[in-house]
Amino acid sequence: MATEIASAPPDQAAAHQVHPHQRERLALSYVVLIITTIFLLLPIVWLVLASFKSDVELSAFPIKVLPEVWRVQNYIDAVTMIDFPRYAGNSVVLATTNASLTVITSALVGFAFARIEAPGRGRLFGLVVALLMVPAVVYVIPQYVVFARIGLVRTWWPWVLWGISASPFHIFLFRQFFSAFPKELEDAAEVDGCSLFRIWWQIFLPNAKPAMAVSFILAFVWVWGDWFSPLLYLTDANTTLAVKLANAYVDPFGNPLITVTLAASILYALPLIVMFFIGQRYILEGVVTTGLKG
Amino acid sequence: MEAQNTSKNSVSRRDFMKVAGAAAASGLLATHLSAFTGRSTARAQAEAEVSFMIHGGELSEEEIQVFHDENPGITLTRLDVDQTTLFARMAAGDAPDIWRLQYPEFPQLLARNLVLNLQSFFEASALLKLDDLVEPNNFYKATDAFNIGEGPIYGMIKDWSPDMTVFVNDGLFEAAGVDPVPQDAPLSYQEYADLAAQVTQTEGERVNVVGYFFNQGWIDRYWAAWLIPLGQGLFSEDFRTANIVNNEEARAMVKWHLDMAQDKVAFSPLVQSSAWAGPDFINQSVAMVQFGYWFSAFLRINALNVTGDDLTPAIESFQELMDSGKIRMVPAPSWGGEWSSPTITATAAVIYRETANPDEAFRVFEYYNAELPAINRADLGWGIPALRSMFDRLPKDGTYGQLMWNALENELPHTGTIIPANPYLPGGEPGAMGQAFLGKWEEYLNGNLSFDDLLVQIEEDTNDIIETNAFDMGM
Amino acid sequence: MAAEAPSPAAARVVVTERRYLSRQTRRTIAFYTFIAPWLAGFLLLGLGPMLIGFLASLTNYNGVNLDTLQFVGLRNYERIFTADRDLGLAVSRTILWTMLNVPIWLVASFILALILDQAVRARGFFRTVFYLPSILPIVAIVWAWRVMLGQNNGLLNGILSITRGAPVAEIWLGGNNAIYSLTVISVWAGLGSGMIIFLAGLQGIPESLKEAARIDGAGAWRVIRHVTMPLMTPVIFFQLILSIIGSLQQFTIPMILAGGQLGSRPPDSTYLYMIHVNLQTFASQRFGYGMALIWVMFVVIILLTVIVFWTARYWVYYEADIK
Repeated sequence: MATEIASAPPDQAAAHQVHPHQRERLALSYVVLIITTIFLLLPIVWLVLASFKSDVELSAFPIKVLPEVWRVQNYIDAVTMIDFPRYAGNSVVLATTNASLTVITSALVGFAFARIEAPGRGRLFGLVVALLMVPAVVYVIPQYVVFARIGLVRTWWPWVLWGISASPFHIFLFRQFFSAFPKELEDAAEVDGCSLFRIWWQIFLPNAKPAMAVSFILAFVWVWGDWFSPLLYLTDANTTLAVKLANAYVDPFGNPLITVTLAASILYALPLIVMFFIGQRYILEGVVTTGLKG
Repeated sequence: MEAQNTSKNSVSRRDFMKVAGAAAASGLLATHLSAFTGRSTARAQAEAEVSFMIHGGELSEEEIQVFHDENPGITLTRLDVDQTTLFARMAAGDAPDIWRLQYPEFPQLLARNLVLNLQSFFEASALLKLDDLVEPNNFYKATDAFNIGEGPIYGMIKDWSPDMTVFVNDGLFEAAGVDPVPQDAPLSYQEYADLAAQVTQTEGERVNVVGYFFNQGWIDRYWAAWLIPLGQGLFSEDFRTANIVNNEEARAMVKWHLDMAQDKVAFSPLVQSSAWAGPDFINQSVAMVQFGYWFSAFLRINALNVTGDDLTPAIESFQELMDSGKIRMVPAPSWGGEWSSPTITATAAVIYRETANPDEAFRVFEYYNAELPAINRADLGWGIPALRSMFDRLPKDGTYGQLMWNALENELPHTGTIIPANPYLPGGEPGAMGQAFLGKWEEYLNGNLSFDDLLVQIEEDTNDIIETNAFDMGM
Repeated sequence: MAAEAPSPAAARVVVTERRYLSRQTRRTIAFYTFIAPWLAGFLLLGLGPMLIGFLASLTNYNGVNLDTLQFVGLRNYERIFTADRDLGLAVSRTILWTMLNVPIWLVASFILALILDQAVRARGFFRTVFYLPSILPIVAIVWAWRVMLGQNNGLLNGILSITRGAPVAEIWLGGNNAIYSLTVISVWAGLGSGMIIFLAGLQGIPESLKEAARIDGAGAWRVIRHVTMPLMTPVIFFQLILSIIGSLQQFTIPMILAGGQLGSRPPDSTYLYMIHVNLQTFASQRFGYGMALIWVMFVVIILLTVIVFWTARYWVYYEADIK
């Protein structure tokens, strides 16, 4: 148990003091975790195995668990059929830019909605929530028309503008998150003469790392996975990996190369796994608010 | 709502765009934004840009590079094929200069004046000669949207196949003790239904070998093609109404597909393919596959040419069948006795009527249809060249290659038919009528819908789409 | 509170004189400055396109008829309620699907977050594993499950065949099973993102509060029930709204699952509303009508959300409001 206490944040460690039901509860937790892990991992393991098979073997039955021949060639094809590093690079740049901008502006807007009372706030927040519900299909095509008219299609600028103009989802996320912060946090600062911007920047934001990490991860994953916007806005020369994944792995007649696509999917997911593994540590970090309430 | 479609209510395309423009132009941001784009506009003026909406597999990056090397001054940009983005680009004034399509889409585009008449370009071209074009190119000759087959040319097929030929696995026929399908003359669809039932093998609940595969996405194209030799069509003369419920032959065609599904002798919602029919055929879990000549190239690459570690037992035994001439392409089945084997895809390219650079666009068109990309396609045998002068490039090597070539030569004389497509319907895969069928056959197969009701619903749905589209297009 | 927002020019003047302004005025200015990026983006990139979209729903636009485009009044809306044969199926399947997907996903991801909020071993590993499916591209998600649930080459039927001693060819991805399979796949793919949002929320709950409850003799369940749950209600509320909206808009998974490509018609069991919209828009080429269908769904979503918001006052707890 020693290692786990060391790795847990202080407040968690404190909570670790012996409690009659603690042990029982943890045991039950592990059972749930292991069952869930199996449920979640089995299809992925199966997917990884399939990525080493040929399309013929993939559709053969009765099924065999392991590939008859481990076709590493699928992975080689995945990175040689397209300029994989270039498209992956495009995805990284677009996703990082958009996610960073989205997190910052959404945190600012979310803070305003959570903590600054002003006339019209309620109604405007109603608008945010309403926008959350607008199905993307309502505006995707007309918005494209607008971008085309101002000459921004076939460039990456739309992703910058989308980032700067925040996103209802992320605004809502930050608003809910900041709403739970204790009131004392800003009251004290305001008495000291801090501007609201500084309160946001120096008090709320540093304590919002979990929400920022979540927001960044979700925004990044969204851009990374979105194939429709790049398909619509970009050309083959500057598009993202998601588009290539959906379109590029076909034979000359357009039939899908399934297992090559699966190999590419796994390569495509790897950077996200790394990013998530790093990002989730920030979600782990406790927040300062814990000390204030008691 | 009170004033129905009077001319006062009609908004021109320009008006529609004004709204879009106004929305964008309002506010200060727009001015800033246009500053960002100055650079790319300047570059665009220096070179003619031609965008081509085509699959990556059909125009490779290397082929684009070669084009750029040979044609300084023209920038060729490839866009991925997608109907949504095609229409969106048109609405935004950002339409591709050239795009890929199949024959059912063409009449509607012609009716809407969206495709460029290429007659004078062809007449002036040194590379594309009108008398070198094979017959299926006539799908893109038209006097107007209702009269396809003759007249000025608007597009050209990239390559083609008689799509209703059947690939048979004689090994599975032998195993089932069934006589092989004759090579020299077509059998009827009814005979194929019987054969499919005989070669289908089941074990418990599972269908180990399914007899037949037809492409569900082409279901309405099959019917349209089968009706032609009978002098009939799926629609009335003016294309304004579907003609199925009271058409005995069409009824029988729909029934044929339903029976194949009901009897579990073809893929359907009841017997599902593991991936698609290609790998299934090599796995020998389907005995007959209704695909065009292009499928011979698929089998060549994925079975015949497989060597080394990749040669699994399944592929090895399929290779043996290929080497011993037991994987064959046989004539397209006939409905009503006549041997008719047209292409039902006619995948082609057309040029946008309002392209900013028509000459450069046609240069790309020539390159795609007569130079490196066309040569590459012919050498691989992924379909038959659209130019007669390239026929010699098709592979004829080995037992398998010779067999396929001979079968193709037998088939070619029967491939000239042009299938009229309905200008009021979108030409998807499946088309509107096929979509209506596929939306209902599950209910029929589960016993929740009678055959007559199914037909009525297909016809009503199709008529409904014709009616709304005719209205939408002011026709 | 019907005061109007200050104009930008006025704002600039008052900023220089801020020390003379009342606290409330300063806060109002700050509020509008802070939300300016979003508001500007909405006005320029959101509102205009949405209006165009709405206008399109009043036209006969079919994708290619810009030359014969005209307003048709409420014709498209009238059609929804009078002449759409498949609409009833789509609506009923969407309701069933939402009722399956939302609670299962919500409860499962909340429980996982609660568990992973504890000091269990290898939390980072579990969190990453649970998030894995959320990172996979849809095409990989669909194929992972097609090889799990395929009729002949699926793992599940393979296992059932062994246990029953005879080949099993149950159709998991079609017929009536399809909607349950879709739920499993969707929950599987969504657990991770649900979990991390809950986790972020759980991190915001002061440990001291839970500790205080424990000192008062509360067991684990009571701490969850009386401390964690009330403090988590804003996040649960957020997730509830989001998952309802997401469920109503689902279409890519069932569509690709059906035939491996967009545009395939899924089995009736998973004929969801957005699939209907998609087929009407593209297969039947009714863009204006498709837009009308979307706007109707939008209104329904708004109504649902208003209802959920209305209930929120009875169960959602906001620190800032209570104070």
